[in-house]
Amino acid sequence: MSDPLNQFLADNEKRAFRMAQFATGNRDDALDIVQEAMIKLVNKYRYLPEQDWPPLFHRIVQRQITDWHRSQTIRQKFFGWLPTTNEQQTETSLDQVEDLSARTPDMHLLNEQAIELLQAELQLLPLRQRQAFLLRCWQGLNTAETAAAMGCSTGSVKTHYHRALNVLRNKLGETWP
Amino acid sequence: MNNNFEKNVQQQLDISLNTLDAATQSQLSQARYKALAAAKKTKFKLGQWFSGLTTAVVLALLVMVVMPTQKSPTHLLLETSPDWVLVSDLELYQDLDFYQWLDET
Repeated sequence: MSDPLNQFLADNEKRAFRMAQFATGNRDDALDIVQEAMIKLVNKYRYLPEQDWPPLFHRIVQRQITDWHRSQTIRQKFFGWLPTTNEQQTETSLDQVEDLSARTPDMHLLNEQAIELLQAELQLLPLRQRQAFLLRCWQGLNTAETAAAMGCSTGSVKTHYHRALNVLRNKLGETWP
Repeated sequence: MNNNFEKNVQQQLDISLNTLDAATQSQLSQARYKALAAAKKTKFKLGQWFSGLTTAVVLALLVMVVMPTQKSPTHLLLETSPDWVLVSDLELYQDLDFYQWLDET
Protein backbone atom coordinates (compact mmCIF):
# COMPACT_ATOMS: atom_id res chain seq x y z
CA MET A 1 0.00 0.00 0.00
CA SER A 2 2.75 2.45 0.94
CA ASP A 3 4.99 1.81 -2.09
CA PRO A 4 2.89 3.56 -4.77
CA LEU A 5 2.22 6.35 -2.30
CA ASN A 6 5.91 6.64 -1.51
CA GLN A 7 6.64 6.80 -5.23
CA PHE A 8 3.95 9.42 -5.80
CA LEU A 9 5.27 11.62 -3.01
CA ALA A 10 8.85 11.19 -4.18
CA ASP A 11 7.82 12.29 -7.68
CA ASN A 12 5.96 15.37 -6.43
CA GLU A 13 7.82 16.56 -3.36
CA LYS A 14 10.40 18.74 -5.14
CA ARG A 15 7.82 20.55 -7.22
CA ALA A 16 5.61 21.08 -4.18
CA PHE A 17 8.61 22.40 -2.28
CA ARG A 18 9.50 24.88 -5.04
CA MET A 19 5.90 26.10 -5.18
CA ALA A 20 5.84 26.58 -1.43
CA GLN A 21 9.22 28.28 -1.56
CA PHE A 22 8.00 30.70 -4.22
CA ALA A 23 4.98 31.43 -2.07
CA THR A 24 6.74 31.87 1.26
CA GLY A 25 10.20 32.99 0.23
CA ASN A 26 11.45 30.86 3.08
CA ARG A 27 13.01 27.41 2.85
CA ASP A 28 11.99 26.16 6.29
CA ASP A 29 8.39 27.29 5.94
CA ALA A 30 8.27 25.64 2.52
CA LEU A 31 9.53 22.37 4.00
CA ASP A 32 6.90 22.57 6.74
CA ILE A 33 4.16 23.14 4.18
CA VAL A 34 5.24 20.15 2.09
CA GLN A 35 5.54 17.91 5.13
CA GLU A 36 2.08 18.89 6.39
CA ALA A 37 0.61 18.30 2.94
CA MET A 38 2.21 14.86 2.76
CA ILE A 39 0.92 13.89 6.19
CA LYS A 40 -2.60 15.04 5.32
CA LEU A 41 -2.62 13.15 2.02
CA VAL A 42 -1.32 9.98 3.65
CA ASN A 43 -3.65 10.13 6.64
CA LYS A 44 -6.84 11.06 4.84
CA TYR A 45 -6.61 9.89 1.25
CA ARG A 46 -4.19 6.96 1.04
CA TYR A 47 -7.02 4.49 0.47
CA LEU A 48 -8.36 6.39 -2.54
CA PRO A 49 -7.38 5.30 -6.08
CA GLU A 50 -3.96 6.48 -7.19
CA GLN A 51 -5.36 8.69 -9.94
CA ASP A 52 -7.11 10.78 -7.28
CA TRP A 53 -3.89 11.62 -5.47
CA PRO A 54 -2.45 14.34 -7.78
CA PRO A 55 -5.43 16.76 -7.67
CA LEU A 56 -5.84 16.17 -3.95
CA PHE A 57 -2.17 16.78 -3.27
CA HIS A 58 -2.21 20.02 -5.32
CA ARG A 59 -5.25 21.14 -3.41
CA ILE A 60 -3.74 20.36 -0.02
CA VAL A 61 -0.49 22.14 -0.89
CA GLN A 62 -2.36 25.22 -2.11
CA ARG A 63 -4.50 25.25 1.04
CA GLN A 64 -1.40 24.99 3.19
CA ILE A 65 0.10 27.94 1.30
CA THR A 66 -3.10 29.97 1.71
CA ASP A 67 -3.21 29.16 5.43
CA TRP A 68 0.43 30.18 5.75
CA HIS A 69 -0.36 33.52 4.11
CA ARG A 70 -3.33 34.08 6.41
CA SER A 71 -1.25 33.36 9.48
CA GLN A 72 1.46 35.69 8.20
CA THR A 73 -1.09 38.45 7.60
CA ILE A 74 -2.49 38.05 11.11
CA ARG A 75 0.99 37.97 12.60
CA GLN A 76 1.91 41.09 10.67
CA LYS A 77 -1.27 42.84 11.77
CA PHE A 78 -0.90 42.14 15.47
CA PHE A 79 2.82 41.62 15.92
CA GLY A 80 4.18 43.79 13.15
CA TRP A 81 5.90 45.99 15.71
CA LEU A 82 8.12 43.11 16.84
CA PRO A 83 11.65 42.85 15.42
CA THR A 84 11.69 41.10 12.03
CA THR A 85 12.76 37.49 11.78
CA ASN A 86 15.36 36.22 9.34
CA GLU A 87 12.70 35.25 6.81
CA GLN A 88 12.44 38.77 5.52
CA GLN A 89 16.18 39.05 5.41
CA THR A 90 16.45 35.93 3.23
CA GLU A 91 14.16 37.36 0.57
CA THR A 92 16.23 38.23 -2.45
CA SER A 93 15.63 41.59 -3.93
CA LEU A 94 15.56 42.05 -7.67
CA ASP A 95 18.59 44.34 -7.60
CA GLN A 96 20.71 41.74 -5.83
CA VAL A 97 19.74 39.12 -8.38
CA GLU A 98 20.69 41.28 -11.29
CA ASP A 99 24.09 42.07 -9.79
CA LEU A 100 24.82 38.41 -9.22
CA SER A 101 23.70 37.52 -12.72
CA ALA A 102 26.40 39.70 -14.24
CA ARG A 103 29.18 37.65 -12.66
CA THR A 104 27.96 34.06 -12.99
CA PRO A 105 28.65 32.54 -16.41
CA ASP A 106 28.16 28.93 -15.35
CA MET A 107 24.96 27.33 -16.67
CA HIS A 108 23.92 26.00 -13.28
CA LEU A 109 24.31 29.37 -11.71
CA LEU A 110 22.52 31.00 -14.62
CA ASN A 111 19.56 28.79 -13.96
CA GLU A 112 19.76 29.61 -10.27
CA GLN A 113 19.79 33.28 -11.18
CA ALA A 114 16.86 32.91 -13.50
CA ILE A 115 14.96 31.08 -10.80
CA GLU A 116 15.84 33.67 -8.19
CA LEU A 117 14.73 36.39 -10.55
CA LEU A 118 11.48 34.59 -11.19
CA GLN A 119 11.07 33.91 -7.48
CA ALA A 120 11.54 37.58 -6.69
CA GLU A 121 8.89 38.52 -9.23
CA LEU A 122 6.53 35.76 -8.20
CA GLN A 123 6.70 36.95 -4.62
CA LEU A 124 5.55 40.37 -5.72
CA LEU A 125 2.42 38.87 -7.27
CA PRO A 126 -0.79 38.53 -5.25
CA LEU A 127 -1.18 35.03 -3.80
CA ARG A 128 -4.00 33.92 -6.09
CA GLN A 129 -2.23 35.12 -9.24
CA ARG A 130 0.92 33.28 -8.20
CA GLN A 131 -1.00 30.09 -7.49
CA ALA A 132 -2.85 30.25 -10.78
CA PHE A 133 0.33 30.91 -12.72
CA LEU A 134 2.33 28.07 -11.18
CA LEU A 135 -0.47 25.54 -11.40
CA ARG A 136 -1.33 26.38 -15.00
CA CYS A 137 2.07 27.14 -16.45
CA TRP A 138 4.31 24.77 -14.49
CA GLN A 139 2.12 22.03 -13.12
CA GLY A 140 0.32 21.87 -16.46
CA LEU A 141 -3.17 21.75 -14.98
CA ASN A 142 -6.05 22.91 -17.13
CA THR A 143 -8.38 25.69 -16.02
CA ALA A 144 -10.88 23.37 -14.36
CA GLU A 145 -8.18 21.43 -12.49
CA THR A 146 -6.57 24.66 -11.35
CA ALA A 147 -9.93 25.94 -10.14
CA ALA A 148 -10.43 22.72 -8.16
CA ALA A 149 -6.97 23.00 -6.63
CA MET A 150 -7.47 26.64 -5.71
CA GLY A 151 -11.08 26.25 -4.63
CA CYS A 152 -12.42 28.98 -6.92
CA SER A 153 -14.26 29.37 -10.23
CA THR A 154 -12.69 28.80 -13.65
CA GLY A 155 -13.37 32.44 -14.49
CA SER A 156 -11.28 33.54 -11.52
CA VAL A 157 -8.48 31.23 -12.59
CA LYS A 158 -8.44 32.73 -16.10
CA THR A 159 -8.36 36.25 -14.71
CA HIS A 160 -5.60 35.50 -12.19
CA TYR A 161 -3.54 33.61 -14.71
CA HIS A 162 -3.63 36.24 -17.42
CA ARG A 163 -2.88 39.04 -15.01
CA ALA A 164 0.10 37.12 -13.62
CA LEU A 165 1.30 36.27 -17.10
CA ASN A 166 1.13 39.89 -18.23
CA VAL A 167 3.01 41.16 -15.19
CA LEU A 168 5.73 38.53 -15.46
CA ARG A 169 6.12 38.95 -19.22
CA ASN A 170 6.49 42.69 -18.81
CA LYS A 171 9.09 42.33 -16.08
CA LEU A 172 10.99 39.28 -17.25
CA GLY A 173 10.39 39.49 -20.97
CA GLU A 174 13.86 40.89 -21.63
CA THR A 175 15.59 38.16 -19.64
CA TRP A 176 13.34 35.35 -20.84
CA PRO A 177 12.08 36.16 -24.34
CA MET B 1 -0.34 34.84 -25.85
CA ASN B 2 3.40 34.44 -25.60
CA ASN B 3 3.92 30.69 -25.66
CA ASN B 4 7.70 30.96 -25.79
CA PHE B 5 7.73 32.86 -22.56
CA GLU B 6 5.60 30.24 -20.84
CA LYS B 7 7.74 27.43 -22.22
CA ASN B 8 10.91 29.15 -21.03
CA VAL B 9 9.48 29.62 -17.56
CA GLN B 10 8.37 26.00 -17.45
CA GLN B 11 11.77 24.79 -18.62
CA GLN B 12 13.65 26.85 -16.07
CA LEU B 13 11.38 25.70 -13.30
CA ASP B 14 11.87 22.07 -14.31
CA ILE B 15 15.64 22.51 -14.31
CA SER B 16 15.43 24.12 -10.88
CA LEU B 17 14.04 20.88 -9.47
CA ASN B 18 17.34 19.16 -10.19
CA THR B 19 19.40 21.91 -8.65
CA LEU B 20 17.94 21.62 -5.18
CA ASP B 21 20.72 21.33 -2.62
CA ALA B 22 21.41 18.00 -0.94
CA ALA B 23 20.23 19.19 2.47
CA THR B 24 16.82 20.19 1.13
CA GLN B 25 16.46 16.93 -0.79
CA SER B 26 17.35 15.00 2.32
CA GLN B 27 14.83 16.93 4.41
CA LEU B 28 12.14 16.31 1.83
CA SER B 29 12.87 12.58 1.96
CA GLN B 30 12.71 12.67 5.75
CA ALA B 31 9.37 14.50 5.58
CA ARG B 32 8.06 11.79 3.24
CA TYR B 33 9.21 8.96 5.51
CA LYS B 34 7.67 10.74 8.47
CA ALA B 35 4.33 11.05 6.66
CA LEU B 36 4.36 7.39 5.65
CA ALA B 37 5.38 6.34 9.16
CA ALA B 38 2.44 8.31 10.55
CA ALA B 39 0.15 6.27 8.30
CA LYS B 40 1.56 3.01 9.65
CA LYS B 41 1.10 4.30 13.18
CA THR B 42 -2.54 5.13 12.45
CA LYS B 43 -3.01 1.67 10.98
CA PHE B 44 -1.50 0.16 14.15
CA LYS B 45 -3.83 2.24 16.30
CA LEU B 46 -6.82 1.00 14.30
CA GLY B 47 -5.56 -2.55 14.81
CA GLN B 48 -5.34 -1.95 18.54
CA TRP B 49 -8.89 -0.61 18.59
CA PHE B 50 -10.11 -3.63 16.66
CA SER B 51 -8.38 -6.14 18.94
CA GLY B 52 -9.66 -4.28 22.01
CA LEU B 53 -13.20 -4.35 20.67
CA THR B 54 -12.94 -8.07 19.86
CA THR B 55 -11.72 -8.83 23.39
CA ALA B 56 -14.60 -6.85 24.88
CA VAL B 57 -17.16 -8.70 22.74
CA VAL B 58 -15.69 -12.11 23.65
CA LEU B 59 -15.74 -11.23 27.36
CA ALA B 60 -19.33 -10.03 27.11
CA LEU B 61 -20.34 -13.28 25.38
CA LEU B 62 -18.55 -15.33 28.05
CA VAL B 63 -20.37 -13.48 30.79
CA MET B 64 -23.70 -14.00 29.03
CA VAL B 65 -23.03 -17.73 28.58
CA VAL B 66 -21.57 -18.46 32.02
CA MET B 67 -23.86 -16.35 34.21
CA PRO B 68 -27.17 -18.21 33.58
CA THR B 69 -25.50 -21.50 34.62
CA GLN B 70 -24.93 -20.14 38.13
CA LYS B 71 -28.09 -21.25 39.82
CA SER B 72 -29.84 -19.70 42.79
CA PRO B 73 -30.00 -21.59 46.14
CA THR B 74 -33.67 -22.35 45.52
CA HIS B 75 -32.81 -24.06 42.27
CA LEU B 76 -30.10 -26.06 44.06
CA LEU B 77 -32.62 -27.06 46.72
CA LEU B 78 -35.02 -28.23 44.06
CA GLU B 79 -32.36 -30.28 42.34
CA THR B 80 -31.02 -31.89 45.53
CA SER B 81 -34.43 -32.56 47.11
CA PRO B 82 -36.00 -35.96 46.71
CA ASP B 83 -38.80 -36.35 44.20
CA TRP B 84 -41.49 -36.70 46.85
CA VAL B 85 -40.89 -33.17 48.22
CA LEU B 86 -43.81 -30.95 47.24
CA VAL B 87 -43.77 -27.26 46.49
CA SER B 88 -45.59 -26.54 49.78
CA ASP B 89 -42.77 -28.34 51.62
CA LEU B 90 -40.35 -26.15 49.82
CA GLU B 91 -41.98 -23.10 51.31
CA LEU B 92 -41.62 -24.74 54.70
CA TYR B 93 -37.91 -25.18 54.16
CA GLN B 94 -37.59 -21.55 53.17
CA ASP B 95 -39.34 -20.37 56.36
CA LEU B 96 -37.65 -22.91 58.63
CA ASP B 97 -35.87 -20.26 60.66
CA PHE B 98 -39.16 -18.54 61.35
CA TYR B 99 -40.81 -21.72 62.57
CA GLN B 100 -37.83 -22.54 64.73
CA TRP B 101 -38.05 -19.12 66.38
CA LEU B 102 -41.83 -19.55 66.83
CA ASP B 103 -41.26 -22.86 68.51
CA GLU B 104 -38.73 -21.37 70.93
CA THR B 105 -41.08 -18.57 71.93
